[in-house]
Formats: sequence, C-alpha cells, structure tokens
Amino acid sequence: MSALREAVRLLLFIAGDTPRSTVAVENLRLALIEYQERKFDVEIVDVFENAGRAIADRVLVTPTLLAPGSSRRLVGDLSEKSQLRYFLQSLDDG
Amino acid sequence: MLTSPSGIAGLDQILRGGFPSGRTTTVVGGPGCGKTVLAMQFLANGWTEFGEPGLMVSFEESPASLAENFAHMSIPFSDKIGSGVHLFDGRVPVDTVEAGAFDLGGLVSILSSLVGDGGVKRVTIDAIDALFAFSEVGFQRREFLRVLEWLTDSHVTALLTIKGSEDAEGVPGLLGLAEYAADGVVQLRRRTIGELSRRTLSVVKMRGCGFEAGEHPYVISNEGIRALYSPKRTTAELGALEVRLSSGIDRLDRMLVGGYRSGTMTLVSGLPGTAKTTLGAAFLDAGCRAGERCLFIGFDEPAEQMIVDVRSVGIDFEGAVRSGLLRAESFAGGNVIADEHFVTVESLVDAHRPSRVVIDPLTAFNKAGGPDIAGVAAERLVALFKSRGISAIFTAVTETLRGELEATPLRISPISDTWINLSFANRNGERNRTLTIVKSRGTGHSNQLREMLLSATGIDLADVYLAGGEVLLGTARAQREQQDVMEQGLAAAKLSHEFESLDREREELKLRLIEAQLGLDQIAAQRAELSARTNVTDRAQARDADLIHGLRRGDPTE
Repeated sequence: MSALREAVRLLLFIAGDTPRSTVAVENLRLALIEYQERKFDVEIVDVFENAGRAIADRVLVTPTLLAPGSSRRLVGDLSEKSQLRYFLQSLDDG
Repeated sequence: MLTSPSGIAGLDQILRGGFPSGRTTTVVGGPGCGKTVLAMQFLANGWTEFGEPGLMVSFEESPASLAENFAHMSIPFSDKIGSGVHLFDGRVPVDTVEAGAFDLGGLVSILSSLVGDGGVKRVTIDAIDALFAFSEVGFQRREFLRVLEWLTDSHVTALLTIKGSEDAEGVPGLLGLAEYAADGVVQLRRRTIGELSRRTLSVVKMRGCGFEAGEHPYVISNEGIRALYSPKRTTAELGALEVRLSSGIDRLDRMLVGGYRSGTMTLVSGLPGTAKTTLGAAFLDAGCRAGERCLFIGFDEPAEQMIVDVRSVGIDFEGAVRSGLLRAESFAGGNVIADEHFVTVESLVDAHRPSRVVIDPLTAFNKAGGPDIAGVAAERLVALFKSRGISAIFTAVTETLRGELEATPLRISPISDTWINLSFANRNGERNRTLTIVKSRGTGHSNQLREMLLSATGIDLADVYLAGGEVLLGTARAQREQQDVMEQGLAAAKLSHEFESLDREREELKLRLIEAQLGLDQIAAQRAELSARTNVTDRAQARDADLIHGLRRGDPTE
C-alpha cells in the first residue's frame, strides 16, 4: 500500500563540506535505508552555493532538514537518530 | 578611526562622531529600552542621510510587525523596506527540533548574499540572543564569534542587539562574551522612578574611539531615540556678554544697568500670582519688538491663556504670533520624566531658532521625576541655551514667603546669571507686588526693593519709601509721596537741623578726645616716676646682701 503513495520530498540544507555537513548527509542516508515504510526524494542544498534557497526557506542554522509543506524541521547533523526517525514518521502521518 | 554617524541626536556627540566604521558594536539592554528602535534609526538614517544601504536581520519580530511598530513613528521605516534598508526575517521556525551539532552557516550565507547584492554598508542583527535558545553546548560561543568574524571581514558597520543587563536575566555567558569580543558595547538601562520610567545609556567600551563616559539620559518619542548630551561651552558666548537686552520694563532695565545681558540666564522666582509669567512676557514682547525670534514654553497653563492674560498689562502678542516671530507652546507638566521636557525644549529650539526663550515655570520639572533629575535637566537646558547664544528667563514657583530667598530651585540659581524675586507685601490691609534683584552677575545692579505696578498701559516699577526702617508700598507709598511734596520745605529744614545737631555732637566728641588724651599722658608720667623709684630700692637691697655674705664667710659669688 505504501508503494502506491508518492515519494515525500526532503530538503537537506548543508553549509559546504564541513564535518557537520558530511555527517548529516550520511546519517540521513542510513536512516532512509532503515526506514522502509515510505519513499523519499532527497535534495541536498549547499547554502554557500545557493543562498537564495536559504533565504527563501529562512535557513539560518545548518544542517537543516525540512519537508516542503510541513512546518516541522530538524536542525543539526542528525546524529540523534530517534529525533530523525520521529521526524520521518511525522511526515508519514501527514 | 572612521566613524559611521547614527544620525541620532546626542548619541553621535557621546560617541564623538558615531559607531566605529567597519566594526561591530553590541547594544545591550533589558526589555523596553529601545534597542530595536536604535538599530532601526541607525539604518534608516544611514540610508536617508548618508546614502548607505542597510540590512536588518530580526530574530524576534517579523518584518510586518516591525513595520507596524514603526508606522506611528515619524521615521519612515516602512518606506525603506525594499529600497535602502532591507529587512530579513530571521525568526527560528517554531517547530524546529535539535538533532545533533549545528552551526550558523545558513545565516552567514544569507548575510553574504544580501550584503553583497545590495552594496550594504550597515548591518544590524536584532535580538541575536534569540538564536542562543539552542541548547547545544559550545554552539553559542563558537557561532557568536563566527558571526562577529564574518561581520569584520565584510567591512560592514554592525550593531548587534542583545537582551539583558547586569541586573536582569539574559543568555548566560553571552553578555560577557559580547562585551569581550565586540569592538564596542553600549548599555541601555531603564529604571522606574515613582510612576515614571527613566532611560539612560552608557558606552562601556569603544575600541579605538573616544567617547563621553558616564550615564546619559535618553528618551524615546515618535521621532525615535534622542540622547541628552550637554554641549561644551564655547568661548564664542563670552564675546556676546556685554550686549544688553531690554527686559521690556524701562525701570527694570535701569536697575540692571541697561537690561539683561545677552546670552545669559535669568531666574524669576516668586509665589503664585506674583506676575512671574508677566515679567517673562514683557521680555519676549521687547524681543519681538526688536525683531528677534522668541519662544515661550508653558508647563502650567495653556500658552493661549498666557497670550490672553498679558493683554491686561498692555502686551499684544497676536501680531508676533501671526508673523511667526513668537512661538508659544504648552505641555502638561507632571506625566513625563524631566529628560523628556528637555528634549521637547531642545526640539522646539532647533525648529524655531529663537534668541529669547521663557520657560514657565521651570519648577514643573520637579514634578517630573524629582529634584535630582530635574536639576540635571535644568543644567542641560542652561548648557543648551548658552551654546546657542540664547537669552532665557526661567520662572520658578516658590512655596513659602519665608523660604523664598534661601530656596535655590532646581540648582538653577547658582548657574543663573540674574535672579529676580517677586513677592507680596501685606500692609495696612493692602497686598502689593514687590520686585528685588537678588543677584546679577557682572552688573552693578540696584539692590533696592521696588513695587511692581501692573496696569493696562504696561508694567512699571515704583520707588519704595523707607519710613522708620519700613518699606512703604501701595497707598501708604502714595500718601507718603504726597506728604513729601507738601513737606518738602519742612523736610529741608529738618535736614539742616539734623546736620547742625550732628556737627555739635562732633565738636563735643572732639573735646572729649582731647581730654582723654591728656588723661593718658598723665598716667604715663606717673608710671615713669614709679619705675625710677623701684630701681633705687633694688640697688640698696643688693648692697645689704653682699654685706651679709661677707659676714657669713660664704663662697665667693660668681
């Protein structure tokens, strides 16, 4: 049934190739492998290359993970796996 | 060091030019101190007065609510949005959850983009402490320094506002960090005095720049922040001292040897109803007649009422008001702090550029926060007037008849150049107005009490008569005047009689003096005789002693 639903868009804002950026990307990748209930369409935005996107989404803190259409957002390198999982689940609930 | 003026009256004087250019200054203060107003003025003035584009990143208020807050102010903030001053909504979205280590990379990227695109020269970050609600250990210090470093590298002149003061809550450690890491720190304070609040600012540090130390009061009005800074006295005023200005009353001008000195302060004290306002009005009337710009500021009664009242003493201000020479304004006395009264006067002086000012009464300042604050505000007024070469009259209401001469209302009497006291004398069932010049610096003024006469033809002063050591006023004086005319001959005779009797007395005393001198000479002679006799006796005794010594075979005496 879940396969029929369309993929959820995720935006991960990072700031260059700092350790925090790399760790965040890796943590998200691992979490999505674990979390099989839903398909996700992830876009990674480097704020240093695309400040306009940061301005549009008011991303002051990096890394920031958000899903367009949802008010929830996560900040940090996503090393707190329970928070990340909870975030992904909340998107699933609508 | 180059400075970027804030365009805020008083503040640039305190900062000796403005905020250091290309550097970062933190503005620290509790709620309601006007941090955001200051930051906004810095940007708005930067654009309108100095053509420097600005950017405000607001961490607490949305651009919409900022524009709304400033809509009632005369600073055209909303007009600036999108043109010279850009507002960026930096509020952290409510549903943000922490999930690991993070930094302000987004902010730095946004700043770089907005500053670079708009040629921005001035940046303010309002309520940067809001970002530090995040709990991550190490984030606050590291990222604050990162933002500071970015601001410095970008050569923008920046203000960071931070909530908190030494006696209020704030982000722990942030204040200390800000004070140590920023190039400059300005502290804003608000205290409550009775039902009024008083605001002061002080410069804690300003790297590479001089500033005026100490706490400076400031007020927030719909024109924004205005700091009170007493200008240093200029030497130019000294040259103008010898010009005399008519008081509007001929006899008073004569008592003052030509009138008030130009550019000096006159205090007119007195009980209610002693015609203090009238004396001030006469001074302005004389000014208007001479074509000088005049300003009347009333705190007790409406200025219109004053204009109506002084018609009864033959002063007509209608023409002067119409031609714009005279500006008469009135304000409620007690519901604001004296600092705000000062600002009111200062802005009227700036707008009208008068050469004569009357403040009626200055003692209204006392109701506005107590005598200490009122005294300082009064001193500032004096400094303001002196620096602009304005001649001013301050009226002061005294409470008691007895205390009026000792009273030094608002510390103004030491700094006023002339002090005139008005009073009543109750005698023989009459109440008559009196005028005394208590002091007049640098003027050989008359120290005599005068009776002040108010009539439809104007104000006049009458000589007072001394009878048996008592001053005669009113009917008694008038009677005495008549009596004098009638008794002129008699008086002359009496006078010559008195001369004669004095001469007689003098001769008598001279005689007594001679007698006394003779007596002294006699005593001196007697004393001389006595001491001669004493010497003879001494020699006889010495001879006897030698004889006895020889008889007893004593040792030889030395």
